[in-house]
Amino acid sequence: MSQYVLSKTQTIQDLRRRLLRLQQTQHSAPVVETGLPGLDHRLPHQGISAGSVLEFVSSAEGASACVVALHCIRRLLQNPGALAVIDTAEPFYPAAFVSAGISIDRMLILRPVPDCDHGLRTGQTRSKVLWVLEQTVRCPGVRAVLCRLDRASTTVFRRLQLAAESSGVSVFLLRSDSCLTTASWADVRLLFQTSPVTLGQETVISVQVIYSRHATPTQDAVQLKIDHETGAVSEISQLATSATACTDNG
Amino acid sequence: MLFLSPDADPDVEPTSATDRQFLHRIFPVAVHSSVVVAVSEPASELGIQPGMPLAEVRGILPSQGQTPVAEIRFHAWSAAVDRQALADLAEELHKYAPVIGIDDQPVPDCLLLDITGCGPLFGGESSLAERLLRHIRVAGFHPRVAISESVASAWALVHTDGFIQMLHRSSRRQQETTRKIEWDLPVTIIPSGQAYTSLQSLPLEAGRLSPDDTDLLRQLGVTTLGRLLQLPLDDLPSRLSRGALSRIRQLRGDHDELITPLPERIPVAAAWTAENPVTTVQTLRQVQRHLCEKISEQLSRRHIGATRLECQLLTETGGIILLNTDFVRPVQSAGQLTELLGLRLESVTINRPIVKVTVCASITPVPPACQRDLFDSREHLSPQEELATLINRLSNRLDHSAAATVEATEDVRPEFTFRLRPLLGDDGQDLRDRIHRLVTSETSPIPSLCFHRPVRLLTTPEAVTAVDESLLTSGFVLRGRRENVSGVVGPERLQTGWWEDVGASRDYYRITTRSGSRYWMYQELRTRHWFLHGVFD
Repeated sequence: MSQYVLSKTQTIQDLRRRLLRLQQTQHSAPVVETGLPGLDHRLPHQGISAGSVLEFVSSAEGASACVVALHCIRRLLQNPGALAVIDTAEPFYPAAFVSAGISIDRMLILRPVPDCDHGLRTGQTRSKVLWVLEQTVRCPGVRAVLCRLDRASTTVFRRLQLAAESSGVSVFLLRSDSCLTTASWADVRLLFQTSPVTLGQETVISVQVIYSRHATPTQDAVQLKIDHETGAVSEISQLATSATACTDNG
Repeated sequence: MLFLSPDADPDVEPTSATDRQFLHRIFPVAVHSSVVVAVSEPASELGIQPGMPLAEVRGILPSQGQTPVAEIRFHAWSAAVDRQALADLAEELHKYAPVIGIDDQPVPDCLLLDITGCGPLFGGESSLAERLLRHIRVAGFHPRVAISESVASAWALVHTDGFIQMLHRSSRRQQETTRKIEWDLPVTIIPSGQAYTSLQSLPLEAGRLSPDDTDLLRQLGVTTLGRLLQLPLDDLPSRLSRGALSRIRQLRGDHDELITPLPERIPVAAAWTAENPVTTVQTLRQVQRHLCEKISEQLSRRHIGATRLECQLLTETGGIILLNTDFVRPVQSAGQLTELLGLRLESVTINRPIVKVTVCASITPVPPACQRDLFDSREHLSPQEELATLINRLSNRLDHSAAATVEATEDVRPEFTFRLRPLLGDDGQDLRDRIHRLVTSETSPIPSLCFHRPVRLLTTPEAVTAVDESLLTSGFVLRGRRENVSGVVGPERLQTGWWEDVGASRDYYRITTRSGSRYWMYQELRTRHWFLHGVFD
């Protein structure tokens, strides 16, 4: 019986591997590196591919997921195209974009609901946000879309995925950890966890790829540090494991 | 002889403040006394020049014994009269060009004609120019004509003495034609692709820059358009005005300059009257599509685009429902007009039967790049046009302020440091520049060196209670939850000027809590109260 279960599991894994191999060979969208080698190594195409949907999940408030997203968006904006920022409940602060190296001239602010009715209180308001999100993702004049999104149906996500694939727009969805219980339609889902440890003027965060559509996610996380003064994001160098060190030393 | 008087009654002599300022820069004497603006040939032969005080001219005239003074008459100058004369002339010239506009300079003396595709109707562009010139002469003017691929180069050529010299720089194919014309008529035709070259030796004034910008450039030794166009564009924003930068981009051919057409006598409009009142939205959509097709046909025939559609729905009881749709770029396609008007229809409630629908378009010429492919409306669209379509769609479906760009202000208070500027409602070159910058402006390859700021700024700062005397060491209570502080960076003092009515004096800190969250908090220095203002999401 256990042999039968094992072979079934192996078959599924084997099928999954073959499926991923097929998807990788079909992939032809341009890829932009994030500038963080450890993170690139964990992403399916060694970077952010055009037309992909990425979920940045924060484990807690102020976990700096968006700070890292802006770091990635800055690299994407080396190519022509606008950055569409969809303001929903709480507005994004443009100064954060400037400190991340993004010109405010490239920011197209979209407000599905006016000031007096801000907040995702009603179904009508949420449907407006989703409509704006889909319309924006369909526009090839946009390079990247940044939006906070807490809840959406699988139909909405599938539409979003197809829209991104057809237009080549990269979609950055900022989500809270309540979404972890739901299935992901994104190409990559990243979980951001903060560490109370600070390195002098720097905050340490760990980023883990918990779901990838095109690759099997690795279990280990990449450690990033964010400079308190400038907001610069960089990777913490990983020490070689003792086993590797022993091998290197012969 | 035309003269400008400093104390003219604005009701009698409607010259705008901009026109006056411009003339005062050219003729400083005009601030205090009447000054000659333009002279006829007999007056010029007597030595009278523009810029001379009127009193001096009157003093000269009686001493000129041999010239009959009766030939010289004095008229008060008015920019409005000049514009009206140009507009009247433009009405006669519509057979040469579908789109005619008046020069937007403070003192207008120029008509701008879009003759794209019109040359073959007259046997070529040179033949068209010749007929146009004769027509204008018959109307009593002394015209010059320049044909070029950009408005900027054509304007520069007709307003400078370099006009005739340029003829010899034309291509070999064109040279013979233009030389022949040179001796008869003041016409120049710059072949396609040579507009930039033709500007090189022209004086700086041909660039249509403001007097301030022209003075500054002359002080820097830039005297010709050639030298101006060699300057690196990246260094200019700090020295020149935005208008000047826009002009330079037009001269370089980087930006299109559209001609704002004079109002047409026959408006672009379509109407539909119902035999039976319409009660369903589906029927109204069909009516809208039918009317938009008619509008599109008219626009296409006249080589123009719509910047605004005004749709009126007349109800059975005589009420009117207005559906106004604005576009950030001119639209000609029936599909787009129908879609955008349809989005507006979704935003209103129709609760009474409709008996009549009228649609009227505000028009502008269609930029060449905006022309759609014959077989596929989605092909060959630039990112700017794609973006304009998106903005049209969102702004008309939601609200005019739904799509905006960001502008920095000089206010140090974070909540006022940036303001949003809606894209719809703004028109002209500035809007095109903003959309262009959205797509192509440079983003730094490295992060900026300015201070780190939170991604989320709270609309209203949230009060925070310190656990002990010092929040920075003992921790704080936020939304009923106690947070211990593990790291602090600051303070960074933000203070408004003492002259501000509602001033602010705050010490900001970037605080990391033991749970790993990062906040941007400040202490109000007057009250010593703490507030949470942003979150590093």
